[in-house]
Amino acid sequence: MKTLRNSSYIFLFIGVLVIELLIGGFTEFSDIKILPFLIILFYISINKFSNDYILAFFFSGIYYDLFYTSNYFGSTSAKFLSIGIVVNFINNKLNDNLFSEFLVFFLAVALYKFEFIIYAFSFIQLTIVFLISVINYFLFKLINIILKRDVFTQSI
Amino acid sequence: MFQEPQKRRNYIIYILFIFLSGSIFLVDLFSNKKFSNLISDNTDFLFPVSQEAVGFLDSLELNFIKNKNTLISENIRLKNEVIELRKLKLINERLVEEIRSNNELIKNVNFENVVYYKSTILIKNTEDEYLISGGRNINLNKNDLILNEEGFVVGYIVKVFDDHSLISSIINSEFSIPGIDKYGNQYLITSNREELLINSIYIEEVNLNIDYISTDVVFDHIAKFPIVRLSNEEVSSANNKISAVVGIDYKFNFDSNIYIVKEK
Repeated sequence: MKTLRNSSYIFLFIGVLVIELLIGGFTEFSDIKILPFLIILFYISINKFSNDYILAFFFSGIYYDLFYTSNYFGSTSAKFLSIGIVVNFINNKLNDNLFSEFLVFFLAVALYKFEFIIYAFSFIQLTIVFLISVINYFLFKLINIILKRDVFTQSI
Repeated sequence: MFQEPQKRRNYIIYILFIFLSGSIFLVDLFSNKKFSNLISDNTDFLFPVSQEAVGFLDSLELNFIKNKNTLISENIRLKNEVIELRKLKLINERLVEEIRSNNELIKNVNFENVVYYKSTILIKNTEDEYLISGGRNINLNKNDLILNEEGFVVGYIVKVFDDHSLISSIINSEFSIPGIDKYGNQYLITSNREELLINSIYIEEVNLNIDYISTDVVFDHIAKFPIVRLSNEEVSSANNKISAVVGIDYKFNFDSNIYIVKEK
């Protein structure tokens, strides 16, 4: 049962990763992007951090390195796992308020897009990262609200 | 009570997996990507979105707008006809443009031993590299040149998959290609994503009247294709070095006509 659950997480994460890549394409290659994979990564790191998702992060990174980039094998897995652990660690240290959460999200986006920042560091790139953070944080909050609503206990 | 040790255990396992990823990374690094290439070369992976699907999804937007107009307006038939005519006009314009660009391409690079494969951009990955249609199925190889509709080099293939390939384009900071001018001076052309940086690596004759810098067989390129036009750009020379900075005007999108050059 546990194997089945872990396998389903792997397929789910890979699916979300492919959706993210396709969304990136259909937004006419703009710099401001919607990052569903990062949102799910952030959501799990903050709300459901556990060992159950390690294989999903690991294999989605391997899958991405294998078929979509010229990166060295394993670098994306390390990135996903590092984001998960860093986000969870910092979030536990900070106060539970909107500003802190956004700050952690901004850090997660910066780590997620670190190649983008390192290779062409400029104020414009930082602004783009900030805008990506704002848009995706809004989506994260929206998903958070939807997932927190217990529809089964709501009275009709 | 049990939360803190459990969290620590989670962190340790996450860190162990980061080390595992790091180990795989090191194996790939020291094997000069042979490890990852071995797996990707032996895996039959077809891209989840085909060239036709990209075209279909691109046209969905137009259909959606058309349906919306149908609901709003009572003059649906007339409007549809107008839309159809406009679409036909657009298709016609696109075809005329394609013929013109194809003619331009033939005029710029007229080589008999070369074959051009028309390709399409499929997606852009998170490192801003483009995946294009065509891979091992049309015998593409690493470092095959990618041309735009005017015949200028806009990238080269860095990784080949079954039916798609990854390219390093002029908007990637890793883009780097050697070129030569009409005087035999050699250059290295790199990109900072917004501009092409041209720096000489070998000078035969200092002359700033450079029209084009192009690829050449001396760099193992298939033939001479223009990379950058310098006739209207500021070129500087100092200490027996020639350099120039040229802004990148070319934009990649789904409608980009890109061509992969192969030997016949």
